Amino acid sequence: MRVVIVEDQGFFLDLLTDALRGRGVDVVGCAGNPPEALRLIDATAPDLAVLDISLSRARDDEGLRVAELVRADYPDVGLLMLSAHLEPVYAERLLAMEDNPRAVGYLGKEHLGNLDELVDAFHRIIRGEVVIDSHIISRLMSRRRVEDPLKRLTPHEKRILALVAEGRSNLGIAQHLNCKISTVERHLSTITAKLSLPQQTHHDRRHLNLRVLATLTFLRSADRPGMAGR
Amino acid sequence: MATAMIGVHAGHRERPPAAGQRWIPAVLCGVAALSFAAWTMAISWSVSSPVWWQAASARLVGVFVVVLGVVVWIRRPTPRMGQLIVFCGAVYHFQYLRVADGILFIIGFCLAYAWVGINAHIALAWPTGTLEGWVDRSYVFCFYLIATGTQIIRYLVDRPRPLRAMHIDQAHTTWTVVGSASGAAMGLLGIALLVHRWIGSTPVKRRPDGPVWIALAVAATAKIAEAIVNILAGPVAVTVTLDALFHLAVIVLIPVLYLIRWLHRKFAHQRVITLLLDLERNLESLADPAALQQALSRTLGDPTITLAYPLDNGEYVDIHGQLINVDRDVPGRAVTRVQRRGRLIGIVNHDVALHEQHQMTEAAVAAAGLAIENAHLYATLQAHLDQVRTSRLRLAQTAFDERQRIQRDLHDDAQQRFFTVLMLLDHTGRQLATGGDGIRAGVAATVQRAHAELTDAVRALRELIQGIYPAVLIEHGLAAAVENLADRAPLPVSVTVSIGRWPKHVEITAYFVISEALTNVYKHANATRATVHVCEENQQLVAEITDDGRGGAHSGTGSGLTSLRHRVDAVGGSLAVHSEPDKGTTLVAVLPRST
Repeated sequence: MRVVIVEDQGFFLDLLTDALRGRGVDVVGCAGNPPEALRLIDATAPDLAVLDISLSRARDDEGLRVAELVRADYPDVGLLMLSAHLEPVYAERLLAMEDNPRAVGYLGKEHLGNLDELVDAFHRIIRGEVVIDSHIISRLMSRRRVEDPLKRLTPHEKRILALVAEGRSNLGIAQHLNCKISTVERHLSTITAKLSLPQQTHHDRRHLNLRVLATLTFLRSADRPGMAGR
Repeated sequence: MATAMIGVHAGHRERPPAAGQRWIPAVLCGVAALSFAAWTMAISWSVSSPVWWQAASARLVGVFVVVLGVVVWIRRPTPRMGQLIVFCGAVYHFQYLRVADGILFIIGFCLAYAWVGINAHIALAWPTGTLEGWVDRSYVFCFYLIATGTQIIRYLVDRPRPLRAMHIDQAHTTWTVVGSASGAAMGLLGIALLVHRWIGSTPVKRRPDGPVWIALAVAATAKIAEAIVNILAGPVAVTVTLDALFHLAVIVLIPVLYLIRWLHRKFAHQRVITLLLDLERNLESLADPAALQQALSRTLGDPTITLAYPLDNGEYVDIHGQLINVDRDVPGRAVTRVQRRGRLIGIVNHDVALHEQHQMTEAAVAAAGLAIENAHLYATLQAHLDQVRTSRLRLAQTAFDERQRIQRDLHDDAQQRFFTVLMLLDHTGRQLATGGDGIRAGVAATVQRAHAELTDAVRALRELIQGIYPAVLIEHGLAAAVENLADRAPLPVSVTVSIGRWPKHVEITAYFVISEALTNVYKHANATRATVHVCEENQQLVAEITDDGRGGAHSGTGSGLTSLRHRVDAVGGSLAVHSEPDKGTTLVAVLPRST
């Protein structure tokens, strides 16, 4: 697993590099600003680029712009945004880079406190999965709504929906919840029926990722006038 | 006394027809009257008078009166008074027909004193030319009756013959005495009526009309004295002298009256000029309504003048700010409206007699209009300055309050958690130092707690940072930023933002307004839900925040609404609050694209 890290704060960069190397991650290079990052990625052709979102004081979304450029020029490089800011709108932007979202992730920097999880996310992204920070999902799910479609779900179903939105596969969810995959699938069909979500027919990667986008859009737009219960 | 309530617009007074349209009939009638006078003089000139100047002065009086009548006819606001005077001057000459024979003698004899009646008519009808009230009308009617009636009776009873010389024929018969006595009595009564009028008049009316009354009374006195001498059958020399005195009085008094009026006008103009200069020099002192009212009183010589200012709701206040009723008709009072650029800015309530000097009144009122407008502009400017000052102060205060809030938030949450982590690390250190069996489990637990605390601290910081500066607003616009507000709201907030990107200052202000408005909803409205609707209308951003709470919000109560208003003002927008009790609150901010 060849990884480059793009982060404008030097001490943090060093710490992260060391920690990842300690976990056997092959950190092939580090960059502190967008041009440097693009040169580095061009030179090293990594499996994954880990990018901070705020790379400069002038703009708050510099990292996202770099991600967009990398995805356009080097579509094989997985992209993980690692940021102190967790914004649903950034997640949507990340997922909207391609018609079929893939190999992208967005996690809060607090995941540095749990490197196992972080490295796991690296692997998932390199496999082509979508990874969204659970904090963003829980924020969207806990939003107050006049007509809350989520009230139709049991707490367990809500938990499963959140894992779907985070980008987990059915197997991933089953592992996470320590249950059978068939149980997960049964719950999922109940959830899609209850929320009138599009029915899941395929279980390949592309559809799993589209499922994330659909769920996020649903959570974003539920209770908006004229869109409730879509 | 005139009781008409005349609405006069400064500079737009309903003027009587211009003199140009009136001089033709006036001059024609004057020429006719003078021709008649010349004819009577031609007939009577051969009849010798005791002294030549007596004959000349007697005839000059008639000519003088006719000329005066023509001038008054052209210059007064209404022609009626001038017509009366011309008529009087013409009728005056009937007395000279008494030297003729036949029918001319009869006409001359019977109408010899008709002019005295007209004179009384003029005295009581001054200055309008119209008689007011039944007392005046009956008096004038009786005077006409007596002036011609006694002569007719005398003609019928005494059978007089044409005169061969003026004043010599006065045969002392009963009807001569009756005629003179009734004439004198009526004259005295007329003077009494004038005195009564004087007493009942306001100083404003007395100033132009008083001299006229005095002159008429003086002339009448000479005539009354002449009549008394006639009754007592005094010597002809006395009668002739009194008659000459009367003529002299008329010939001297008319120019004197004109001089007085001219001087009055001159002084009045001077006072208006002084007022204008005062306006220029002491603009601020005249900005005070009381000072302005006083200046107007002084200028127009009317101590009863009151100023009133219109309010937006159509009511009026006086100079002390008390509500007053200006529509009530008060006898003897009139109002002049003060207008600037077609807008009513004041009302001057004054003595109706001021209409007699309308030009000056208009000039003074126009000057007052300047003062009122200046005062208004000055006050508006001051108000704006005050507003800006308050707004600046408020913004500074808001910034400070904001710092305090951030300080408290940092202190209460993140900082406390960092302290906790510090303690936990210290504890771990001591656990490791003391060693011993089973230490691993203890250390692992403490570290895990520290881990959890730090994670929470990081999340708390994130929320705080997001609140301080909504980065999404700048990068992604209002829609994303307001969605974030709704995500964190303690009650359902449905958001529709149907606009793209707008200038930064507009987006920031709109965000601030929505954020503050929602905070107010959470804090005060006791609402169950809120709606945010942002759209574009006529190049303006319209942000509407509605809740279903208890309503009754006011912008004047020093609530968050005041600071909102200041924010909106700062970008040239406007803020409206609809908040009826129990019907929720709707707040609408309209922000122009460019300030």
